[in-house]
Amino acid sequence: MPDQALNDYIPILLLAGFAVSFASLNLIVSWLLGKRGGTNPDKESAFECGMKPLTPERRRFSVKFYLVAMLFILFDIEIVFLYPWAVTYKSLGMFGFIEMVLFIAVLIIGWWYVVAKGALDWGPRRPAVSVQSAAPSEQAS
Amino acid sequence: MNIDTSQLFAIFGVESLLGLLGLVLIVTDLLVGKGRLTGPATAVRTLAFGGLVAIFAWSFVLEPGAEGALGTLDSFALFFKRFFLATAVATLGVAAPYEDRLSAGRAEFPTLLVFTTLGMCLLSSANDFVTLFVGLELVTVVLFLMAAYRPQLPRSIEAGIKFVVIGALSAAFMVYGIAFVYGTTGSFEFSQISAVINAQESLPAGLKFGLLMVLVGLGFKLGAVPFHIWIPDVYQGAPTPTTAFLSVGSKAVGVVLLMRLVYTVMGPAAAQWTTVLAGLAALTLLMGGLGAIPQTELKRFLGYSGISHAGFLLVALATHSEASAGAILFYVVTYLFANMAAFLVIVIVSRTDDDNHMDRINGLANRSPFLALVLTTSMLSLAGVPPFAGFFAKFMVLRAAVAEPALVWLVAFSLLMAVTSLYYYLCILKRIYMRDAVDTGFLEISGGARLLLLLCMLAVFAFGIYQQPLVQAAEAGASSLFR
Amino acid sequence: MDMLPFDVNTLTALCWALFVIPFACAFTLINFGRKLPRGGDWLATAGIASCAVIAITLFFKVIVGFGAPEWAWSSAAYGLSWDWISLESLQLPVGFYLDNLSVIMLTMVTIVATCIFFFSQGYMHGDRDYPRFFAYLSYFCFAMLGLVVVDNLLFLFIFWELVGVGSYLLIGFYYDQEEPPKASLKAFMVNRVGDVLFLLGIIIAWQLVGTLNYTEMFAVLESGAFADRTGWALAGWDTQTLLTLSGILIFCGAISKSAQVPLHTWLPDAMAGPTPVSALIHAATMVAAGVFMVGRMYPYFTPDALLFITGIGALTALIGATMGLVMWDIKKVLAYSTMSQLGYMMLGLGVGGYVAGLFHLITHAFFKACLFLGSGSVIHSVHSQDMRDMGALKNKMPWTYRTFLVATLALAGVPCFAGYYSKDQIVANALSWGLSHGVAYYVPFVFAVVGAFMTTFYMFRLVFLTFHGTPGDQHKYEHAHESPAVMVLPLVVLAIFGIGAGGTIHPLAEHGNLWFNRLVPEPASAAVAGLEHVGADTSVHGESYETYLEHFEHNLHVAHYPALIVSILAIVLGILLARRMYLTKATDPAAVARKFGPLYGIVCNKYHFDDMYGRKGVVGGLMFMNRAFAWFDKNVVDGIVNFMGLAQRFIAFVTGLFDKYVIDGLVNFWRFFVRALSSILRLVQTGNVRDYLTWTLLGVLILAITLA
Repeated sequence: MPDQALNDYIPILLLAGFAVSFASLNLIVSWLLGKRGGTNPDKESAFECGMKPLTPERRRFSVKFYLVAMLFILFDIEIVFLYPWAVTYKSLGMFGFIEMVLFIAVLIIGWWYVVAKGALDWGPRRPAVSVQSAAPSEQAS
Repeated sequence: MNIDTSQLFAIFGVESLLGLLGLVLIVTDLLVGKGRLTGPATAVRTLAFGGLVAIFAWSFVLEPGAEGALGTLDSFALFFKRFFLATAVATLGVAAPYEDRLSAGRAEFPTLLVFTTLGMCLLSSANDFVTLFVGLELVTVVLFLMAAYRPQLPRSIEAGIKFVVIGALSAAFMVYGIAFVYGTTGSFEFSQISAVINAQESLPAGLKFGLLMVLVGLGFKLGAVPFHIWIPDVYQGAPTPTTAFLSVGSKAVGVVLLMRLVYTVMGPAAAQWTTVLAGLAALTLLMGGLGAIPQTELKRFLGYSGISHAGFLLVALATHSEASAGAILFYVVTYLFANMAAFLVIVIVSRTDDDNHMDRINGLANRSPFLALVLTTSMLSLAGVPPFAGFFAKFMVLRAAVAEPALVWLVAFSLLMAVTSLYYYLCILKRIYMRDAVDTGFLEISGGARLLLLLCMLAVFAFGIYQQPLVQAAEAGASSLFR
Repeated sequence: MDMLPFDVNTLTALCWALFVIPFACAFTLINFGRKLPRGGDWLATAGIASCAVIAITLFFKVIVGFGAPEWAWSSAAYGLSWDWISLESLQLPVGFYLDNLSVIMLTMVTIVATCIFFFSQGYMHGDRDYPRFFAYLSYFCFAMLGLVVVDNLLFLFIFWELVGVGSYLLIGFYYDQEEPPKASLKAFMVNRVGDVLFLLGIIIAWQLVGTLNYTEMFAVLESGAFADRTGWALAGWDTQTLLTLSGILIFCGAISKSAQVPLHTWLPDAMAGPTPVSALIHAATMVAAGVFMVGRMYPYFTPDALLFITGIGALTALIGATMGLVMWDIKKVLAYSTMSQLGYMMLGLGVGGYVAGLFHLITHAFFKACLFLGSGSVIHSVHSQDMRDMGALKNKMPWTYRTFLVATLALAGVPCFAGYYSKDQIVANALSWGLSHGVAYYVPFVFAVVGAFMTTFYMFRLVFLTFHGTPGDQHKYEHAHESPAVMVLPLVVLAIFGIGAGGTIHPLAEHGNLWFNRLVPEPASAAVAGLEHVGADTSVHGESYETYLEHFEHNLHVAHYPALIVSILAIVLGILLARRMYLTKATDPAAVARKFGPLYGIVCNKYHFDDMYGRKGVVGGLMFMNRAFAWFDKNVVDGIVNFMGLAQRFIAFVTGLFDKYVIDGLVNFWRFFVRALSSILRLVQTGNVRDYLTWTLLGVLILAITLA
């Protein structure tokens, strides 16, 4: 039985084989066909229609970006769940419906929280809490 | 596809209520006292406390027995659900005096606590690798947040990041292992895996490797050497209530899953693992014992102390008998009370800032005899000095282990390390009673904290003298693993 | 149960009262002591005095049987137990057990304790922590009395630990000084070593006989119904070995508690505590608890285990006495004397003199408490513990002198005094043992006689240096004064017991007629009976154990007078020598010391050995773990530094066990090894996550390899 279970993995092995051979094939072909020669400054420079880089390309993004990206994924998943449910809506019946309502309710509360705490505010940071009661001892030590 | 809703609720009743409670807490935070710091926090904390206590009480109404595709509600699961709920309540108690150090997110702390407790309760019911993994991630991800809860403190951030990286590694081991187990047995369900395992003379290499990887993943949670490595740094850096919760809850998560895995899933086949588990136990005891001695930071110290307790739990796991399983359940409960008391004392003595150097407790006996008494009781219980509960817990573990002739060396070694551990606990007592205080400020103890400390101390004392009810509960809880 | 002079309920209530009263006193004093008038000393004293009343009532009622004449001189036991833990897998009943031995023990403990409580009112007068002292003392009495009345080994162990805590608290009473906290920690740790072994012994015993209740244990043992519920037999252990092993391990508890070689080192240091504490805990009661325990478990010990006990006892008796010879600190002399006398008791028990050993425990408690209190009285008056500062004090402190002299005579074993009757029995038993076994077995007897000579010598040296001769320090002498009545009266009471505890003053009294011998008959060896049941070989020198016992009994009669004559000779010699050296100064002690140079050096070495080895850092292979402690300590600059000395002393005495002169290379090797180990441990905890990951992966790899 374990042997049979392993048999199921053969397609994956094949796929991996294809992927590796395709990539290496491309490299080999371009190496065979490509024109090889010395380099010159023009060849090394940015692509013709591009701009010369003026600043270091590594830049720090605002943490907001990650926040929004993460929130996006969260709500994206919602859709992932909604589609199959929509497809099998009839066969799941009432149970499925209630289940989905609960699911969406949870999401809505989450969304409400996100909005209320200002995670989707794009403007300058607005303090989430009033400053007067912030503990004075809150300092890096 | 037919899903029996009432049966699902019978199994996951506690979890459902916890989920509901979590949502209610979020809504409360949003509705009460908009934009202010203390109002919603107080409301959320009160509500969380009331809700957890109510669910805890309700769990005693539940009867074990329901079993389904994703989970089971046997007496073992029920025992640990109660344990996790009690841990959460105690953590709320530890968090209360800590709260005024937080500049933001006061209301969210109890909410997160409720959600991670939900994950833990889910885990105690898991009889399927899918439930196990979902529950484990729920617990871990929330704990990441709780560890890095004070972004203004570099230590807290450091703790969070280390925790994330190590946690990801442990999850990776888990998934890898689960994949192998699935690949070789063709099932996620514990009962079917167990059937496959016990149908064979010796385990196939793939299955063995898979189980080992799962074991490693759980070893991180338990804090077994060499997977303990995150413990000192994370314990030290995380906010004290989180550390308290980590030290008891996270360890118990490891315990609960290892017990299911070793006692139920592997069953008789686990005998082949005795040596490995015993070796891990010895290493863990050694590391915990030697590591704790030079510590000068209280939480780090308790981290190492926790490692050595994990060693004792592993000794019991290696024994593989019903008596040892009962001993583990007894052990974690005594550990809960002693540890929570210690952490609450730490929160109180380092009230003004986040320096938890051991100097803080110097001369505590003169500053607050009550706190000194509580800490003494807790340390002596952790050290396993009679008549405290910790002694009886160690006694039960060793009594079970001594019945296995192959483990006598381990028993002797555990006793040796118990003596070692006595030394460093005594050093704490020395600081309490025989040093002059470094701080002289007034120690404010709120009524709630006083109550919690008193409760923990009484429990440690009472279960040391009159253990019968707890031992019975533990043995009843453990018995369902062997059915 | 109509034979009992008290009904069971009364007895149970009295048992509860015996240890609840001191506990209640301790609890009250620790919480409200400062608010009570006179710091509550009256409460503690009244508490222990009421316990003494209960114990004495029990003594007369149950033993002498005033109310029920048919009970006189008979031995009966009262036992009551109820379930403490009752589970399928675990049955632990708990209860009280009273027989003549425990009642005598209770009487002794409470009387001595009452005297000491009164004495302390004078001695500790004006101390900053006066109420705390009485609270601790009461707490100790609670634990000690509990230890005596319980009916099973597990609870004995629990109270055993509790008296240990009491001792810890009281040794470290002057916590603001440098020495006492160290000494208290040392006492506690050294005792833990013995206790762990003790616990191991209890566990094995439990597995073997399936119960921990004394009576049941012996009954099971006697019937030979060993319960092999563990598969030990499969692991290749036969019953006899296990029985002997568990007996020896149980005795190991007594080795540390009763300061036997090699775990004796804590006792001299424990003298850092207040003197009444030394008298109560480290002379009369707690250290004797080990002897009491061995007496309680006596039927459990196999002949092999008894041989071990004899060896340790004889060694302790001699080594303790030699160290007593050369000390200048009055309390240290008494401490080593206590150690030596405890060795005598163990020796007595080991050779088969059950009665003799326990009798000595009782008589010794009285006169040794008297000696300690007497030294306390002297220290109180002279404010020094060094005998060189004393001298000629008999004029200034006549009552202290008289009582001290009586107790000294009793300790030396001069005929007619209490110590004579018990010690003489031990010597006679040792001689009889030699006669029954053969030449090599005379060693305990020789040790006992030499020990008796030394005991007499160092005690009279103490008396002469302290009370006779010329003042050592004129200034101190002038300020010396007799202690107040509250301190002198307890001394007188104890001195009276020092004469009277023998029950007679007839020097040639037949041993069998002594009150103690009649009350506490020697129990039959359950271990031997059990072993015969399972077919193990219990013969001694080719003859059956019963025959051996008959021989022993016969030889005991033969040995009585020779032993008596030899020990009296030893005593006379001891007194004369002490007189010559310290009173008439006909011989210069320093010259003698020079003459015995190497020997003298060794003795000095003995009592310094923990310091010396601590500093040199010699360590035996087995103590590798402890070395690890010490290493960590060195690297922690903080308060743990204090412990370093302790750890090293701790290592040192165990080291002394193996070899005093371990080769340096070995030492260096271990040091290197531990250093390497510690640095590896350090390397692991770098704080870098990537290192953590590496180590973890390495761990997984090793695990995988182990399994594969």
